[in-house]
Amino acid sequence: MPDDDSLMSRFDQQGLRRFRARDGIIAVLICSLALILFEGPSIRRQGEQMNSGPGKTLVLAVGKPAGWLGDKLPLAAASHDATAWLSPDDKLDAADSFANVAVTNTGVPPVTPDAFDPADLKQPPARKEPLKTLLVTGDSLSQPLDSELARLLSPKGVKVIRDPHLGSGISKSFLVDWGQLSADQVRKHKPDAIVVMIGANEGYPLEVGKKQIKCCGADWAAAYANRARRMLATYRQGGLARIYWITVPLTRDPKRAAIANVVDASIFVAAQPWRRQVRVIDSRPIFTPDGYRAAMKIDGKETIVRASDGIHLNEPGSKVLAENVMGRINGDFTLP
Amino acid sequence: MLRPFLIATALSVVVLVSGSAAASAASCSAPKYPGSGYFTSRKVTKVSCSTGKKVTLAHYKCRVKHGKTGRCSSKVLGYSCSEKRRSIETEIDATVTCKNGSKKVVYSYQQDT
Repeated sequence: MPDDDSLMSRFDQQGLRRFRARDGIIAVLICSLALILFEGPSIRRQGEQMNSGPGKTLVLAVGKPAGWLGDKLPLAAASHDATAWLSPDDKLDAADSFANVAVTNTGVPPVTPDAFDPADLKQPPARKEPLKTLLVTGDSLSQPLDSELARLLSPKGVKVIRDPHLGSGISKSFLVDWGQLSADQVRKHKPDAIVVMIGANEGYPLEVGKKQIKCCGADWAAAYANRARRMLATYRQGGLARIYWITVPLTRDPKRAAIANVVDASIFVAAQPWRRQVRVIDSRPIFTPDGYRAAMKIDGKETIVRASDGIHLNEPGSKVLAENVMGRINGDFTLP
Repeated sequence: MLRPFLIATALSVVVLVSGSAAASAASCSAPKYPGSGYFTSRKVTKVSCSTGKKVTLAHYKCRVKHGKTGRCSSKVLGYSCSEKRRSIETEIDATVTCKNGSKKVVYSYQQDT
């Protein structure tokens, strides 16, 4: 058995061998030199992007001098230019630049500073003004919350106006038109703050122009949000007033809950342009964090907080909500 | 001399005011709804609010005899009633007009279903 079983000698026997191992080594060295000259900066960049360790040290040991050489010679740039056609840059149109196109030209109204609650920007709140007149309104959901707020604020000299409209809804203009009603309320009372809780009777088709939109898809939600936004525009009185809009807590009846979901989502969207003045108080984390529940712990004691209809809050529930609302009011106003 | 004249004038005013009130529709406060919902408005013509309340509640009883979404087809307290409804899956909103000659009671309600 021969020592070398690779039988390489068969090429020599036939006189076919054309290169020797030394030629191979020379070819590798030539390629390495070409790589260093043409792609030195790439080796250095690659090394800089690697995680720390022996690999990075090794690559940088070669990459740094290779990069330096590449920087000094024009070969790397020439190679880059010569192969640029293989991966061309995306062609950016100068006409689309922020400098040339109004950034507000998006088909929706521009964002204004009123869209930001100072708290979200970690900025100090605006100077607190004294609360003189508070309007508490909405449908039956605003009761007995209105009494609770009156109980807390009236002794402090705040004029609390309670204006519930039972059975009404933003989607039920045939009963009362909340666009008109909100304007009338502001004209009559000029409130510094408005607490709104409405949404127990929604789900009627909304008329937009000549179209009737049935509840409860995105188009209905958009139409509902537009109506709510109209009310907010009225209530905020050009930014002078603060609005505390309370979402509908989940209801026991799944059909009503489905409507309430859309109503609540619409309110968040409606309030977006004026978050400096509009506080959306989400009642769900308070009352129904994991689905509908009739009772919750208050001061460590399990207490029924919902009315028997599975829609409204009862007195203890309204007290909890009123305290929550008071926390937000205290953040915006001083009390006489 | 002046006293009889003043009394007569005052009486005339009272008669005129009450007469016009009876002839035109008067708004009354809505009674508490016996079920799940609300009476949202109530108006009476040529009857008192108290009679209007009786008619309203009698019509409610007649209506819900046939369930929450039921209708009343018989006369209540001598009044014939008609109803116009708008309803969705979760509630009914309706206006009911009850007539007995020239006497009229009109009320609206919202009934959860």
